[in-house]
Amino acid sequence: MDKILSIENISVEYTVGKKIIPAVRNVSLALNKADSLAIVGESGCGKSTLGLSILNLLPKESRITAGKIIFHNQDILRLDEKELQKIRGGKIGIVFQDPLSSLNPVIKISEQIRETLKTHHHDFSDEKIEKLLETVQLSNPKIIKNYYPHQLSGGMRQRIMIAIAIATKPEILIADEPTTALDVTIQKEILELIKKLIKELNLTVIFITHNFGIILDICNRLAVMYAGEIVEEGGTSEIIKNPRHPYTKALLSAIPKAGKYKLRRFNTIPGNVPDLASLPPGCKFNPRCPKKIEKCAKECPQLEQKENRLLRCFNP
Amino acid sequence: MISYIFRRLLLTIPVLLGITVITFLVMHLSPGKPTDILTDMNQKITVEAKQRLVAIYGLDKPVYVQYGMWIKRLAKLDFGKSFKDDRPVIKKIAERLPATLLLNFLSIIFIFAIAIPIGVISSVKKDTVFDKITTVTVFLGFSVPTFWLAILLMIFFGLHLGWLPISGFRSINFDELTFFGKFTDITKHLILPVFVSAFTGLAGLSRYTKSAMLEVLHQDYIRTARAKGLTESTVIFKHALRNALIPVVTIIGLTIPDLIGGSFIFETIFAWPGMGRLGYEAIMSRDYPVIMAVGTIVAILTLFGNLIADITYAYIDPRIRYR
Amino acid sequence: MLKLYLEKLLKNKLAKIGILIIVALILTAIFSPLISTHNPIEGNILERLQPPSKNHFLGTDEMGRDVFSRMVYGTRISISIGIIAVGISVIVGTFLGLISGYFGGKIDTVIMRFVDIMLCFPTFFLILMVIAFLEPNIYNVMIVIGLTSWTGLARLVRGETLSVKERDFIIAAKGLGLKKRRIIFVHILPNVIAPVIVASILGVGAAILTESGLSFLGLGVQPPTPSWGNILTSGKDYIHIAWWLSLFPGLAILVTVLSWNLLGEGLRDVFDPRIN
Repeated sequence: MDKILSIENISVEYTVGKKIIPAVRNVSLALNKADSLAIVGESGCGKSTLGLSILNLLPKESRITAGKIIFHNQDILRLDEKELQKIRGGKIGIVFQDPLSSLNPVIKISEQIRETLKTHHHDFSDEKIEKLLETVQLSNPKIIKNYYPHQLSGGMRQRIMIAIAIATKPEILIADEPTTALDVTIQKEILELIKKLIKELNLTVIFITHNFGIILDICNRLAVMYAGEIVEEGGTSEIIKNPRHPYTKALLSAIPKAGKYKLRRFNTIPGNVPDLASLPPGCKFNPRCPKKIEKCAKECPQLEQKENRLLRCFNP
Repeated sequence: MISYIFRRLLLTIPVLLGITVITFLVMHLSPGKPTDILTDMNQKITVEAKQRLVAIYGLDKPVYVQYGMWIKRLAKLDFGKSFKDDRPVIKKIAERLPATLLLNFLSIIFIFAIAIPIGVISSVKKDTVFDKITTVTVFLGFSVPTFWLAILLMIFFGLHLGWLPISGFRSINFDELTFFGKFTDITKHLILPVFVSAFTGLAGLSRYTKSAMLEVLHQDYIRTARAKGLTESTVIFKHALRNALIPVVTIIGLTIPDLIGGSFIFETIFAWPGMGRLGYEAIMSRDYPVIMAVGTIVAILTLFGNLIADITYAYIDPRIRYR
Repeated sequence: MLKLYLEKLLKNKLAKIGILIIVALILTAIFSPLISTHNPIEGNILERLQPPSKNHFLGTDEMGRDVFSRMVYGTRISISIGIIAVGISVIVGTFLGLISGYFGGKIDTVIMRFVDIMLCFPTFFLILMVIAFLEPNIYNVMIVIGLTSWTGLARLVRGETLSVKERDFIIAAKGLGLKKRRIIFVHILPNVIAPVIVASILGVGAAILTESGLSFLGLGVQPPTPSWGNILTSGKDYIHIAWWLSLFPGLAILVTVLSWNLLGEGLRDVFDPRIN
């Protein structure tokens, strides 16, 4: 198969005051053409940071300390600005979590779409913009294109964000919690839309979420992150059917019925989300783990191939 | 938009009245009578002349009656006659207003044209040498007594180097100059006053722009703009600056009272034939009608500045325009 | 808490410079008679307009008075006007801001309308007018600067009060039936104090600048009492022969105002939760 993106040993640190916080530690992932990969974990596990580092979009207080992002045999992290700008929005599109703050409040919708098209040398006529608005299932594109973001609802704004992300027919779409900020009914519509677009445009997808329920029929592959590391990775259906890592199990049991788009925070897992500034020795999950053995608090388990998946656990 | 402007215009009326009331009260509640100074200055003024003034301005009536009389005359655009030389106040103002307007208008243009780029650059290049130099300059700008700066510049450029004239609006031989000569002459006279009057405002506005930019650069839509593959200059000037300007334009309104307040000092230093100096002289000689007129005009200018700020604000921010 | 703030403040190099200068100025003001080398009021007319020398560090003025000694005494005027004027404006501004924010309604409307009017007023014009009509002396200058500079502060305190008012502990205090006066001054005031401190420190610098501007126009402290502003004013007539009369007092004003501004900005950073 065609490997189009590989994340190799990426580590990211945040600097807060004088503290250095490791947000992502030594993560590697590979995507083949038409793969759709879900990255799942509690908030603060580093999944969004990982998503942003693919496009080198991290905020100034953070730093990618090691690793490579190889896209078509080029390391994105070492490209000059011009080359990087060609990939951003051109080859890789991204949709963010909060549609209310992700669109520029003082620029018309049409212009916000147009500038992506123009930058990447696509047709940027009004007709093309209207067509894109139709593609994301917005009615009255002729009227809506002249609106400003504040005149639209959250769901409509997220459709605009999606229109921008797919405007240039990118190879990869990164969706960073695209439905978290929306109402439950709207969530479902947006997910259906994303599913439809993946099929129509033959997109390779990275879907970042904290909610197992919504990825089942979108993603064929799954990586579970905890405290900046991958703890379990493999085929979605294999992992859902038979979760091996205690953390994955806990996550899965925290949603009542898989497949029923129900928004639920994983606050049912005992213990707290780990403080990244002071991680425990040994396995990072050990303070919350029900199957903890003596070794877990002393040694760090490695991510190893176990049957049909990668797993980081001494006592699965 | 029109109705928005109209509503804003209506709101300025009570503020304008308030300012005139305060000026009036301060003038009339302070001890002493203007007629005293009149007789002190000019012994020849007769008792009848004094009584005539008292009658015209109702100086023997209660303050509120006097204020009513003043407002009535104002409605007819009659500011009265100067106590000092008996000339109509409106004429005196008309002579002085253009010089003040020219000076302040140029200052505002300079402040905005220079301060905004400086603020933008120091926000983007935070913690670089450029940013540090501007930060220090901004601190100096806030702290320097402008009249002292004016004097130093007069000594250096006017007396020491002899490059620039140090006072007035035009040279003595102005009428003999060609059109181009007149232009350069006025420009030369403008350089020092405009620089001095813009200096403090420059410091304030560039600092304000910088912090507004820093705030905006953290917003999600800036990340979106970068994620689209836009060039850094498009991100900064199209996406960030337009948003950062929203709080910055409201400063236009607040800059004007400071600028005009400053006029009282450096119009005196530079012997600039403007309203600030007229007002200062009127205050020193208790020329009531002139003081009231200057106060009113100054208030109108300030409110006009605020109005422009509000309109610009609505123009930049669609959330206000479509409310 | 206080110790933590102080530690943070002292880490800021610029703020530390500000504090050092302010302390030095206050000491100069207190010990003026010990520091000055000559009588500030009486000079030797035969020694008029002498450039800086060993005997007269900063030269002499048009009456033959020692500029250094006059400036040392001038420190008293500048510092006391700055601090007392700001004291007045802090008391008035904080009080009106608290009342306006806490009670809302008509009181709020009246106070805020008045603030709006004052903010559109070129304050300097008003100050000039009042001082000229009363009588220019140090007390009038302090009071008038204080009474014309509280508006921004009132607005600030009002905004803070509005947000603190909705917090749980205030609602609880109301529920307990505490007296309004107690709620306002014991429970709300401490929570709005940080921005007030920053604004008032910055205000001292601004008040000193205003005073020097008034003195420059002949409406500040009257000679022969020395103030930085009036030394400068008399110096203006001699700029072409006695540069020291213009340079040093202006420099003193600049450094003083700068040090208050440095301290104020330093404090702003210390209190800013976004930086913490």
